[in-house]
Amino acid sequence: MEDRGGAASSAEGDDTLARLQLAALDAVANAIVFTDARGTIFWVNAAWASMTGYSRDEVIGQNPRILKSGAQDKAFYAELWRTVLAGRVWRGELINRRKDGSTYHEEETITPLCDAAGKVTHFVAIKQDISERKRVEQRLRESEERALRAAQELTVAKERAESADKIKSAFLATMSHELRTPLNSIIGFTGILLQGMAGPINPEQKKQLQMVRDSSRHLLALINDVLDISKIEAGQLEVRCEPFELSPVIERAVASVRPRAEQKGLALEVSAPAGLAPVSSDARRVEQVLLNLLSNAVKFTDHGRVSLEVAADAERVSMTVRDTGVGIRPQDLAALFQPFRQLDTGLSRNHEGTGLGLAICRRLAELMGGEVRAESEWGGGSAFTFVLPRRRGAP
Amino acid sequence: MTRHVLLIEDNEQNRYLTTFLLQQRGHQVTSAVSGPDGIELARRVPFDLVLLDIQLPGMDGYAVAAALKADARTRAIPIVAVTSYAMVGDREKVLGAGAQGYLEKPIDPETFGSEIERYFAPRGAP
Repeated sequence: MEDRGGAASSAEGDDTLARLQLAALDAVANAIVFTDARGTIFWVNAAWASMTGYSRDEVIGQNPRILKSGAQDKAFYAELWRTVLAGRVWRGELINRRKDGSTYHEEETITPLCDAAGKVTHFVAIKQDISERKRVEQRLRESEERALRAAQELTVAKERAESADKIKSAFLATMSHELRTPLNSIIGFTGILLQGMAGPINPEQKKQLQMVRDSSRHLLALINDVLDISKIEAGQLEVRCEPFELSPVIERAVASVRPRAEQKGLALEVSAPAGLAPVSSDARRVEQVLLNLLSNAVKFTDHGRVSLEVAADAERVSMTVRDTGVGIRPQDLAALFQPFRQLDTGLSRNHEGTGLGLAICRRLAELMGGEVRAESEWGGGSAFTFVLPRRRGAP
Repeated sequence: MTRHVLLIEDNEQNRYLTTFLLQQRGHQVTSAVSGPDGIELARRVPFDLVLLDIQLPGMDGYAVAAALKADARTRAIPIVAVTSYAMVGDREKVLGAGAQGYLEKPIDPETFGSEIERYFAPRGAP
């Protein structure tokens, strides 16, 4: 490779090599600038010109300070000069200004060249525009900060919600107690009087006391409904998971509505398979759902019958309450399970209730891992099916 | 057979109601309006049963039950808790505090007396 042909040809070879090197430097993507020891520019490559917007002719003889944006202070440049004048390489980032006034970030390496005596004679600076990287980094930082802020806000909101939940829970417990305490004595004393335990009463007094008792029981049911839905909405209602026999639960619910059904002249039929296996769930809540569906059926049926059909397989028990009542219009079916939505059918206004029963039933069923669904035909009666898993699933 | 019941209940009407129902069945009732008063009475008088309201101001029913069970003089007296807020877990909490029974308000006057009587210790038992 080395040409050992003689001085003349060697000099020619050196010249060729220098021209090739300069051409190569001119072609690279990095911006390159040569200056003397005072910083006066005597050569820049094409990439430098395109990065700064200055033509070669414009900058030969100038000092690179024409690029200063002012974003970095005197101490920064003093440190740069101290390093390179001491003959050491400086590496760093500069914020510079192009000829058109726009600023950009560059990453720069300044290498001093020294003479034999160690005195700095020239500088070679190699740089690249890192504005895009900076922008990306900045955007990344901003989105990290946003994410952090959002996480902090979420934590605060969560803590606030948790403390609100605690307050709500304590409020519900207190309200439950405060509302039921006076009702306890109203219902209790009414019962005592009605049974003649405090002395004989005449038929009219008995009739009126029965009204007191019915109204207070109704009030209690309303209070229970409102408290139940509040607890459910607050996520405070828990259901048990204990094994129990389903048959007595079904019998109790049916027995509760039988007097009312007989009063209205409705047939009340139950069909259940013999030998129902026990289920693991919340007996009290199962009874509540069943009782609610049955008393709704009795309430909204004036002629015909109400039936309860129980079917079971290995996984679940389904209990369907069917009636021959007014039925539900298709457009009303959707709103049926929403709280405070007793259907305004004109007819239903005659039926007292909170309009909470079905909303509670559906949510209770869901808490027990099951569901309540409705099928109805306007004028053709309704069927409500309560599906209960044999073992309570995760709510 | 006449038994002596200690009723710890802060609400006047409910105190009267419970007392009336138990007296109707021939039992003797002594009442206290607070937990500490009830505990004090229980230490001095040999009651057959404590009927304990859970939501008492100040010292609540759980603390009263625990105190009665911690004291050798009152440990053997059966406790029936009466609570008006039937939250899940209350029952376990009440029974865990040492109560033998648990009744929910509103009480049913027709069945109340017989339900309470189930918890009397047989006569002659320690």
